[in-house]
Amino acid sequence: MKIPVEIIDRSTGEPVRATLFDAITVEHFMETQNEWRPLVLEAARRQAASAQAARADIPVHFHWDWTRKESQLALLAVHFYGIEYLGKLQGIMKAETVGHVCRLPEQRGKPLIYIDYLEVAPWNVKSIMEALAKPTRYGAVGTRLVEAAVRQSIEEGFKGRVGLHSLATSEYFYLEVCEMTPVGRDPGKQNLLWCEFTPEQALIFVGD
Amino acid sequence: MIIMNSNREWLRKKAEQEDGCYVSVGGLLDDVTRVETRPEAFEVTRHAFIRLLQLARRAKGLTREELAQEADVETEDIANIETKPGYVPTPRTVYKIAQYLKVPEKKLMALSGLVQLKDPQFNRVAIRFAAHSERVEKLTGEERQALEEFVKFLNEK
Repeated sequence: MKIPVEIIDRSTGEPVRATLFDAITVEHFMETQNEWRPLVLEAARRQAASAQAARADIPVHFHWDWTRKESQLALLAVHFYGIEYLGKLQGIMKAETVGHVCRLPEQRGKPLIYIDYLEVAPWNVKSIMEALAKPTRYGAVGTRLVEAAVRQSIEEGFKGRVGLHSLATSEYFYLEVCEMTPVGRDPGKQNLLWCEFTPEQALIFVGD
Repeated sequence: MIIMNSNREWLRKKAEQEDGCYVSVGGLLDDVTRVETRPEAFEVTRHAFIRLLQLARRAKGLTREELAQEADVETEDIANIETKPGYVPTPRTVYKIAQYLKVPEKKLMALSGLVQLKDPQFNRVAIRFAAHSERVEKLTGEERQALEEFVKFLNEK
């Protein structure tokens, strides 16, 4: 799959035509390792060195088990999505179609798409780029990836139901921007907040 | 084939809402938690980092300059790490050294003082390793064994 999708160029505020694709390769992982990680780490270091640095501002996603992810590239129940623009990966997501079910009482036990991993390029994250004294490049990349998960859920017959464990720093986005329902902290997952889309919430989010 | 929303007003609104947000989803929140703001908190692990670098360099019979060349870092970085108390190298330097020494980047980041690992055993082993530092030119059998054991520990899950 390779389809055009617009994201926002933050320098102009105008939409630009990127590509949403699902043919993620090991090279894409290497790109995130080699290009993203040093920027995230440097931003974290600068933020920590700043007297104003607060714990909540430190990116917490910069160590991911890429080896394990690479080994899952060929699994049918695992979907990797990427958004590419100007030859650069702008965001990446891993979504699983089996192994997870809804926890919200009104849809408990029903199948959903589980977002196991989602990350946008550091140059698309305002706080990271501010720490590096550079402008943010593209907007709505995270939104587009979540939208892809909802669309995948609809295609799988799950009606848009999506669930994920949000990092503490990302809770605002999933609760306030996506308007997912916070179901509860998961002791089996480092006490991360389990968030879930009902079909109604999912359709509102993707604008249908 | 999935079909994405092509409405530009919706897109602009979403981009505005997402601006300033973290959106990352992952499961390793407590693994590496933050960059410590007080370098002195890493004194012990940094000693282990310095010793690891020195022993590895001497085991390979390399000068600082040669090691820097091999690891693709600046000679000054190696010299600063080995000689300047409180010196915290850049993430790139530690990343390159980890690749060169074939040890996990995360653990070397922790040793160098760039990040903090919530692992009491990690600190205990690092302290033990750092405590056995000797200033001799050639590696003794004991030093070589200590180096090998520590590298093995770093590579354990």
